[in-house]
Amino acid sequence: MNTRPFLFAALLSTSLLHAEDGKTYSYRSGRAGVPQQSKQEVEDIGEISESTGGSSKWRMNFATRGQYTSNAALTGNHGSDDFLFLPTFEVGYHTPLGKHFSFDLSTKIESAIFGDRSDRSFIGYSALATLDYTYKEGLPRAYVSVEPYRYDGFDRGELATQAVGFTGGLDWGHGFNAGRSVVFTGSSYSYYLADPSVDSRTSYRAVGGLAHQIRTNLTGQAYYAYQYTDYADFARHDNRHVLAGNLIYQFNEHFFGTMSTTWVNNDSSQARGSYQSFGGGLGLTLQY
Amino acid sequence: MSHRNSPAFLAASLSLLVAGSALAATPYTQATVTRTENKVSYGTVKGDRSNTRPAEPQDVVKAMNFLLSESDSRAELKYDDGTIVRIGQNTIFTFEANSRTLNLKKGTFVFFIPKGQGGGTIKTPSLTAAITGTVGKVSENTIAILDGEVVLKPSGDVVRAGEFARRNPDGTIAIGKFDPLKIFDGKLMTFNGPLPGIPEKLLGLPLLDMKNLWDLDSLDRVINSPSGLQHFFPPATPRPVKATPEPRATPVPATPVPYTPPSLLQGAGNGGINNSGGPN
Repeated sequence: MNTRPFLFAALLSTSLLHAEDGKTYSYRSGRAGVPQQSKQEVEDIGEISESTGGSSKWRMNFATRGQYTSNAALTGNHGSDDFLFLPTFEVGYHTPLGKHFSFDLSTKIESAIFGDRSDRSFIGYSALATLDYTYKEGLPRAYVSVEPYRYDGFDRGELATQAVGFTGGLDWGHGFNAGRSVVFTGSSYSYYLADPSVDSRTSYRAVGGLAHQIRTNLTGQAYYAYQYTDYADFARHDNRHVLAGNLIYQFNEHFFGTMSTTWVNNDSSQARGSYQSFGGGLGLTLQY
Repeated sequence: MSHRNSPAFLAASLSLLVAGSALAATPYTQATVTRTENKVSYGTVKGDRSNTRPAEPQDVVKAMNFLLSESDSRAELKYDDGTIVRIGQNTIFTFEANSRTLNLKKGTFVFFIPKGQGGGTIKTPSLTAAITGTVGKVSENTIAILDGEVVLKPSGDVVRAGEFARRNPDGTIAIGKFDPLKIFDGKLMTFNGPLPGIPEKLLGLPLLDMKNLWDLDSLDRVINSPSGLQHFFPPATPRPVKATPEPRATPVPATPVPYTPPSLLQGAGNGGINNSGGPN
C-alpha cells in the first residue's frame, strides 16, 4: 500500500484549513493595544492590561535612597545620627536552566554618602552569581551563590575591604489570602574570604516575614532576621537581630518608591562592634 | 508492508487515545449554585422560548439551563469534578455537558478547572479555546490565563500562564503578557473565598526577593567590620610620659611612672580594639 498520497492529502487539507484562518490572523504582540474593557468588566475580573516589561533576561536598576540613621558610627547605642544618601546601579541577568534550575547574575555599583560623617562615605562594587534549584512548585528553593565585592573609602581613596563570599541557602514562600499575602522564611550559611584577613568570617542567617499586596500597586513587607557571624582570624563573634518593614509603591512597571524602617541590635563580643540603630528612609527605583 | 507504520494507523491510534481521554473526563452534566449576590436568574430554554426565575444557592443548573446576572450581581457554580465558575455582572452563561464547554454569551467569568479532569472548551462570542487544568479570566473578547495553558481554535496558538488572547476590533487576535501586578484584581477572584489553583509562582509578589532584604549589609561590611573599626577607632598611641617633679622640700628623688596602654584584646596584633566593655 502506497501511503504517500494519503499523507499528502492530509497535509494539503491542513494547509487549506489554515488558509481559511486568514481572517482570524493572530500574532504575538509586544504591544497589543489599549485594553477595551468596560467599567463593570474591570470591576469583576480586573484590568487585563499588557505588561510592558517584556521577557528580557537582562535587567537594569537605578535606585536612590535617602535614609536617616540614629547610629552612623555603628558602635554604641544611637547617639551618632546622620543622614545617608545611598545610590545603587545594578545590571542583572536571569535565565532558567532546564526545568529545575535558574541562574542569576547581579552586578552592582553602590555608594553610601554620609551627611556629617563624610569620612565614612564609600563606594562599592560587587557581582553576585546565584544558582537556584526548585524541585517542584511550592517547595523550598535551594541556592548557592558566589559574590566577590570590594569597597573603597572616600577619605582613604583606597581599599577599605574586599572579599569573596560563598553562600548556600534555602528559602520558601507560601501564599494565602487569594494570593495577596505571602509568608516567607529562609536560612543561609556564608563564608567570606576577605582582605584584610581580619574581615574573613562565617555567617549564618535566618529570616521570617510576611508580605501583603495591600492594593494593586502597594505591597507591604515586615520581617525579622537573625544573623550570627564568627570572624575567622579575629576573636570576635556577633549576634545580630533586625526588625524591618517596607512599603513599596509601584508607580508603573519601571518605577517604584519604597518607604522603609529598620531596627538593628548587633550584639558583639567586641565592645566597639556592638551597636543599636534605628533607621528610616525613602527610596526611588527605576528598573528595566 | 506493515500497517503498524502507516499514517492511517497512527491517526486511528491517536483518535482512540483522544476518544479514551474524552471518555475519562466527567461531563459537565450539572453544576450547583454555591453563592449568588443580588439579582441572578436561573433560566430554562424550551424551544425558542425561555423561562427565568431567581437563582438560589443549591440550585442545580443543567446543560439546558443558563444563568443570567444583572448589574452588581454575581454567582458561583461548582461542578462535580471540582471545576468552579464565577460569573460577573450582566452575564449570560451556559455550558455543554459532553464537550465540557463553558459558554459565555455576554459578560465575564473566572474559572478553575482541576488538573487531570479532562479539560474542556471555553467559548465566547469572539474566541474559542481548548483548555486543560487551568485557571483564567474570561470576557467577551479576552481570555487571560493565570495557570496552565489554552490552545486557541482554530489557529492552534497557545496562550500560556501570564498571557492573554484578545480579539481586536479589526478581527485579529493579539496574544501578549498581562501585568502580573493585576492578576488578583477583580471581585470574582475573591467572591465566595479565594479562587483555588493559583500557582505558587504567581505568589512571588514583585520585589519579594529575599536577597533584597540584606541591602544594608554594605554599611556593616565597611564600617562595623574589624578593619572598619580599626580605621575609625584606631588604637591609642603610647605617649611619652614625663616624670612628675616632686616638691623640692622632699628629699626623695622623682620616680618616672611608666605609661600603661589601654588593655588590648586578643586581637591586639590586628589593631588593638578596646574590649574593656566586654561582650554585651
